[in-house]
Amino acid sequence: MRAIRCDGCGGAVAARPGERLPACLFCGETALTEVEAAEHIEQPQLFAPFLVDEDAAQAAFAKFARSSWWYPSDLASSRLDLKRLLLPAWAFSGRIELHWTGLVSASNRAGKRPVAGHDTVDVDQVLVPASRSLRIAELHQLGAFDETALVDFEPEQSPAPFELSELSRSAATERGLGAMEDSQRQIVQQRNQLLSIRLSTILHQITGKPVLVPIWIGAYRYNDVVYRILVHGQTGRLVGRAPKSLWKILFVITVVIGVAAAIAMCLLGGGGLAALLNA
Amino acid sequence: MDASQLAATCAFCDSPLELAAAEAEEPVDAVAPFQLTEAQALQRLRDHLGSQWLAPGYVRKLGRPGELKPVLVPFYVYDATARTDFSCQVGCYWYRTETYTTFENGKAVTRTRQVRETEYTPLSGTHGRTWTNHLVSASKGLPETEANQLEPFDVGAALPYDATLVAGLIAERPTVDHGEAEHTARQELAQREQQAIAGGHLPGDTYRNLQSSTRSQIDAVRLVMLPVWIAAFKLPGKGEALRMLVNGQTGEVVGAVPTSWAKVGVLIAVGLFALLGFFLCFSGCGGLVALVEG
Repeated sequence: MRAIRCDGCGGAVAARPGERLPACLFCGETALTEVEAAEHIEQPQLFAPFLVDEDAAQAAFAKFARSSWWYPSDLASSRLDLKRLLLPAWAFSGRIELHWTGLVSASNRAGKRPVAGHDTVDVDQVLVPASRSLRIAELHQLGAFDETALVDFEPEQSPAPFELSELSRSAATERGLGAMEDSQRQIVQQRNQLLSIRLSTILHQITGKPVLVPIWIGAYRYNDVVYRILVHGQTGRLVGRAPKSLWKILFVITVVIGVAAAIAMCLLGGGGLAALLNA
Repeated sequence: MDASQLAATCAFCDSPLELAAAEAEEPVDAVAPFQLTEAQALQRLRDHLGSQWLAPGYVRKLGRPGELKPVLVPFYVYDATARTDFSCQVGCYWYRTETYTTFENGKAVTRTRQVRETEYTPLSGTHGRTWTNHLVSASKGLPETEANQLEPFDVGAALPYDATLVAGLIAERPTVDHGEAEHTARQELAQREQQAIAGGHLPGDTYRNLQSSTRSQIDAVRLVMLPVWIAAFKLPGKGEALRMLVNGQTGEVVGAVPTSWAKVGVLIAVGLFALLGFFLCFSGCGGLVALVEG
C-alpha cells in the first residue's frame, strides 16, 4: 500500500488510486514524499462511516470561531477548508483489576490518613491513535466512537483518504494499557476523595483491534502559526485551537491601563482636594 | 566430570552437546541468537577484568581469542499474575511548634521552632501486578544469583526453536526441574512484589512493619535458550577455575573475580600512613600554635 508522507509533521496518508493529495491534511505542508506501508504493522480491516456531513462540520467550526470574544473577528467569517480523513486507531476493551492506596483528609494531627482498596471494572473503549501526526490528547478530547457502527474496510473503496497505521500491536497494547490505567486512576481518586493515589493493576481479557475512525480535519495558518481543527465524524464534536486577536488584547490592555489611571487620578485628585481643604 | 556442568570447563567445549538429547526430555520453545560476536564479547571481558584494580595482575590480563565459548543456557520464562496482601504502619509527617529558651548576648530569650513528628496509622491493602518474562535459570551450572546478575535478557528476541539456530553452538540441557524452578520463581515474585509495595505503592511519607503475603498464579511457562559467552580460566595455585560470563545480548560481564590480598594489604598500609601523617601534621600545627600563643 502506497501513501504520501508529510515532510513537516510525519503523517502518512493514503488515498484511493488516482486521487492526489496536494497538501498535508495535518499541517498544510506541501512537501510530501511517497512511502510504502511497513509490512509488520497490521492495517485496519474495519472503519466507522461518516455521519456528519461537510455542512455540519462547517457549522461546528463557525460555532467554535464565535465561542470566544478573544478570537480574531475574521475567524468567524472565514471558511475553513475541512477535509474527510479516516484516522487509524487501536480500540481496547477489557476488564481491569485495580489495587489502590491513597490518603484522605482526617482529623488527626497529620491531617490525613492512609486508605486502601481494590475493585474490578469493565473498560469499554479506550482509543490509542496509531497515527504519527495526531496526539493522544487530541483523540481523547474528541471522545468515544460508536464501535457498533464499524463495517468492513476496503482500501479501494475508501470514502475518504486514510492515514496508515504506524503502531504495531505490541506497541499499541503497551500504550492502550497505560491509557486504560490513566482513565481509571482519576475515577478511583474522585470516587474515594483521595488526596493522592497509588495504583497497581492486573488486566484481564484485553482485546485490541485496529480501526479507522472518521474525522473532519482542517489546518490553517494564522500569522505563520499552524492551527489544527478536528471534528468528530460521528458526533460533530470539535477539538482545536484558535489564535487570540492581538488587536483585541492590545485594546483590553489599553482600557485596563486607562481605567487604572483614571482611578489613580481620582484618588490623587481627592487627596489633593483634601490637602487643599486642610490648608 | 558431571555431565550437567555448564559447558565452560572442557568436556563440553571439545565436544558440543547435541540438542537432540535435550529435546527428548524437555522441548525447547525458543532460542535467542547471539548478538555479540566473539571479538566484541572478548573486548567486554578484557575491559571488565582490566578495570578490577584489586584483582591480581595476572587476572587483569586474562582473555585471549578462543577462550570464550558460545553457550546457549536454558531458562524457564514465566508469565505470572501476582496478588499480594500487605499490612504495615503508614507514617504521615506533621509539625509541632516547640518553645525553647536560648541565650543571646548573655540574655535568656524564648524562641519557637518547628519539630517534625510522625503519625503512624495501620493500613491493610492489596497490590496486584502481571509479571511477564520472569527468568529462572534452568541450569544447575549457572546458579540463580549469577543468572540474576547477567539479566536483563531480551526474551522478545528469541526465535521459535529450529535446529539451525543451535548449530555450531554449545546448547546446554536443562538440569533444574520444573517444580524447583517454579518454587524459585514464586519466591522471587514475592520479593519483587514486596519491593514494588515498599518502593511506590504505600501512601504517606514513611512506613514500618511491612508484612506481605503473595499468591502467584503462573499463566505461562516456556523453556528458552539464551546466549552467554563463557570462559573458564585455571588460576595458578588454586583448585577451582575462575569462570567469567558475558551476556550474549548486552555484553554484561559477571564473575567472581578474586582479590589480591597483597594489594589490599598495601592499600591499608598506605591508608594508615596517610592517617598517621595527617595526625602528626595536625598535632604539630597544634604544637606550633601553642608555642606562638605561649
